[in-house]
Amino acid sequence: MAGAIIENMSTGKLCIVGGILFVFQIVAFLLGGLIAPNPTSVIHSTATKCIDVQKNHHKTKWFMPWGPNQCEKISSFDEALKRQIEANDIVFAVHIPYISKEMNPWFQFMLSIMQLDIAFKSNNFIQENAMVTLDVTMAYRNDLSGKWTELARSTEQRKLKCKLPTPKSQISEGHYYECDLIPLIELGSVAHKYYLVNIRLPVNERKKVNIGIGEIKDLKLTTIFQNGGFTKVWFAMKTFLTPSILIIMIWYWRRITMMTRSPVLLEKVIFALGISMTFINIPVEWFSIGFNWTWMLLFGDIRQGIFYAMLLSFWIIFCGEHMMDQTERNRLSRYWKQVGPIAFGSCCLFIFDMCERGVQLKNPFYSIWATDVGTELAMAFIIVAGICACLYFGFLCFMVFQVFRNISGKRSKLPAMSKTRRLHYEGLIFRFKFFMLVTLACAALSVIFFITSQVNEGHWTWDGTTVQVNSAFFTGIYGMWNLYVFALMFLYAPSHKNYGDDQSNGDLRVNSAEELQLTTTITHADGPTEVFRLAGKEAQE
Amino acid sequence: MTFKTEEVSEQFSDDRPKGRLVSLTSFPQSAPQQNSEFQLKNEDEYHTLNLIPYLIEEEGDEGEEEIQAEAPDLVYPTRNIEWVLSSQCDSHTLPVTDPETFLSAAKQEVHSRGVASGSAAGSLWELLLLLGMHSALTETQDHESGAVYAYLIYSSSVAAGAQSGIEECKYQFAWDRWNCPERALQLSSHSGLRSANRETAFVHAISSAGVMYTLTRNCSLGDFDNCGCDDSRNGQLGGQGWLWGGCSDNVGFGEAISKQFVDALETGQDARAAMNLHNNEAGRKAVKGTMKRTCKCHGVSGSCTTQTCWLQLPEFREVGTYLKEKYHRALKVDLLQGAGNSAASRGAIAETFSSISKKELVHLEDSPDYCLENKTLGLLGTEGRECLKRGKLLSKWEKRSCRRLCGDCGLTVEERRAEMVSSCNCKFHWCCAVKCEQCRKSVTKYFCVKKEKRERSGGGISRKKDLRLKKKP
Repeated sequence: MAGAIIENMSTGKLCIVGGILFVFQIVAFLLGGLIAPNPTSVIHSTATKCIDVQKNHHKTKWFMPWGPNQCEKISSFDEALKRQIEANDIVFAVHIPYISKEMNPWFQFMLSIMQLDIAFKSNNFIQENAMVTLDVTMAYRNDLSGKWTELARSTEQRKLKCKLPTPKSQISEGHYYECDLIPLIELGSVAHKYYLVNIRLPVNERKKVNIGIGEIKDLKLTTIFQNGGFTKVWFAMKTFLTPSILIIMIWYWRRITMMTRSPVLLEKVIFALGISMTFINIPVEWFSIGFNWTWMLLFGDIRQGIFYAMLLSFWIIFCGEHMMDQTERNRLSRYWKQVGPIAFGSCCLFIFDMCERGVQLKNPFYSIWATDVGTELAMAFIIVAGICACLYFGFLCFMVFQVFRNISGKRSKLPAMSKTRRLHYEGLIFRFKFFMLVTLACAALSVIFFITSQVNEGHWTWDGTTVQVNSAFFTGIYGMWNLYVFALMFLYAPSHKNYGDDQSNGDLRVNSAEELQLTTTITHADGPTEVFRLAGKEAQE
Repeated sequence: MTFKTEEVSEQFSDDRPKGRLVSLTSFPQSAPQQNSEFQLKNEDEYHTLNLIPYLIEEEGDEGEEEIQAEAPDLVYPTRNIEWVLSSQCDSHTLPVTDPETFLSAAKQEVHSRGVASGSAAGSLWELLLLLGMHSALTETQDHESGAVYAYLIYSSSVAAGAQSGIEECKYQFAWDRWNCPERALQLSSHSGLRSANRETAFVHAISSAGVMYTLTRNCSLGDFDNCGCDDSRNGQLGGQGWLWGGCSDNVGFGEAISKQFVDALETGQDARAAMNLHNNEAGRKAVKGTMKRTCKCHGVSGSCTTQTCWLQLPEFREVGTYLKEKYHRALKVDLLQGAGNSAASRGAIAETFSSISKKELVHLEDSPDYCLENKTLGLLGTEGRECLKRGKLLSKWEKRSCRRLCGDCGLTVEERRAEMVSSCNCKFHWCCAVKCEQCRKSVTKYFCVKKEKRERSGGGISRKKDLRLKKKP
């Protein structure tokens, strides 16, 4: 039986395949850069300060910042002081989105961040480890004249991490603190048109609730959601990619089953990678337009996690199977040392995600970072996952180093071989290295684009054409890994060419007898690539 | 003076400013359906109306009642001034149906009165007066056309913004020789010339910054229905705007409206006008320049694979501090000599100003000596001003204020003691203090007085301190 397609393909054909993939890659980048808008949008809201005139804190009453049933409001707290309104009678009201706009299921998710404008007063400053207690309620409605329906209600505590930019003195009197963002709401689906958030900061001196949090001037809410345009481009991309990967996957598996031998580990791992890629690709998000599935955010996390774990495992096994030493691997259990950390790290992140986004399905105001225990727990999970990642990359780098050392070792023996064999092996080594290079390039490109998207301001403009760098990053990287998996399955599928065909191949004029001898001497290692067999043979010699 | 009036009205018939103001009305209006919101607008504008007489009052009081100068609350104006103003507006039934004629008529109205009372064109003063007129009109006439409504939506915010700019100016210059007097807003018209010094530059910058800031902030309060959501800009495909790409920043909106309102006041085409426009722009750039970029990560498990960043408005004080620095480093442009009104010199002016960074403040003249009273320039001098000394927590600039205001101006420092009753030992909540005690404390304040006057008055302070003060030159 012959090796993988990558070995039996001519350089010209390989270039054509590479070219086509490259074109698709460019298209993926341009799709995000030119067609899609920025991935996310932001709504800035400053809360309207309403007065609860009824003095009835238990009855459900919604405070609207504007519109026909708007609340009685004050423009600043100096006014409250004059009118002798107490802190407990003040309700911060925020309507999402702006007047005359409405939310849409295409926005996919919505998260709100709270910021407090706290002025420094020498007689009323923020005390150490101050906590702010929020009485938050959220409601929705679908037409402007309808009644508000409660979505969630909770009493939340958040740490107040603020610092004064200037030293505490008379000059800084009245200056605002610089406070960390306080995550407030996270919704996994945007099924309704209008949302209303009412926040109270109840004061209780006996229980020390909301005491020593300084003088609050304003409450601001920043709401982030995915842009409808980006969602549409994203869905379109997924809908196109799913069948592409699915078809190549079926083709690949058919190739493997057609062989007389049972599939080897590397082939299985590639197939599993294809499955995990398809799992990400399947556009189940289409349902979120019609159904109020709040778990979509969590589901997306899980899907991504599975793919990452699969990809990392694949890299390790790929390197291991090309080690070209005497050891026989071909079983997953041989890789427990390397795959173990991946599995463990993934589990840690999964538990962490369940603690954060899982609980948010029940209570959208929940945040694991709000409490000390939660923060420690979350940090523990993340640190363990980080250690696992470091361990993994240590192993991976070591294995890559070993492979290259072995290859150079074999290369020194090449001149002693016959010319045809030598050319053949040189080609194989070149292609193996080429594939390593592609993997590295993909990883590097991901990292570079990630950093670029973090640093720059989201879009570049050339002669009136705006390129959305962030969107290009998402579609480009997503497209890239899809193409990577596609290329992997295509090039590493077993070649249908038999030895007779090899003769006709202009590139590889391998003496069939020699080839036969080469392959038949290896009885134990039925590796998918020539390099692998070469390794086995050399070792036996 | 008569000549001046004519010139002004002629300038207003120019196409440029009108075009700018009228373009305001092209904003989408959903006004007619929202009657209740309109009620609220009225309430806001009521304060705007109050603002103007307040300014008039302050002018006269300058430097007379410093004893109570400790953090005065906002002084509300006397009713009769307010009444006079509104009744003046009422007496002229301005045509409201056409915004263009309405605005120009209102402007001319302001001008004829402004000149009569000794103030003139192109000033912030005029802006406030104009907006005050509008609000008076709103109160009396309920049948606005949509166009005027669109203008009125922003007018209260613009007025409030200009006011916040002035307050910031007063704060920033509290311990300088020039302390941002209300007269600065009229930009001294007595000589028939508007001043074009460093201080004028600052006033222009801070007020346009204030207008932009307030508009941006009020956007996020939900006061306007089209904040940053100009559908034409984001709708890259099929104009689906909001759904496709959300809204752009509110700051852009605040900037645009501020530009339309504040820059429209500048009607001339000479070097002064160019300078004022440049400084207005510098003020707006200052708001943008002090904005902070904030990011939030929300990727897989809350990681930073996905993050969203946005610009956040700073405290307005930061804008003021930033502009104060720019004030100290303001650039002088020598353009006044020989610059006629010809097209060639206009080109030269435009070229000169375009070569200067938009972030820098620009002035044409040197500042006058603010130590001395100068009636022709409308300066009050530093005599009678309060200054600070020996505070524990004072900055260097504040500590030197007595020397700067009094000593260097040939005045001496007088110490005055006053008993003050203030609330103390308050229990504070996050809003609204509760349970305070009344405390009496004596405070020592320092004032600049003329040397001879001090020698004559003699008493009032203990001899010890008298001696010590005399030792200091």
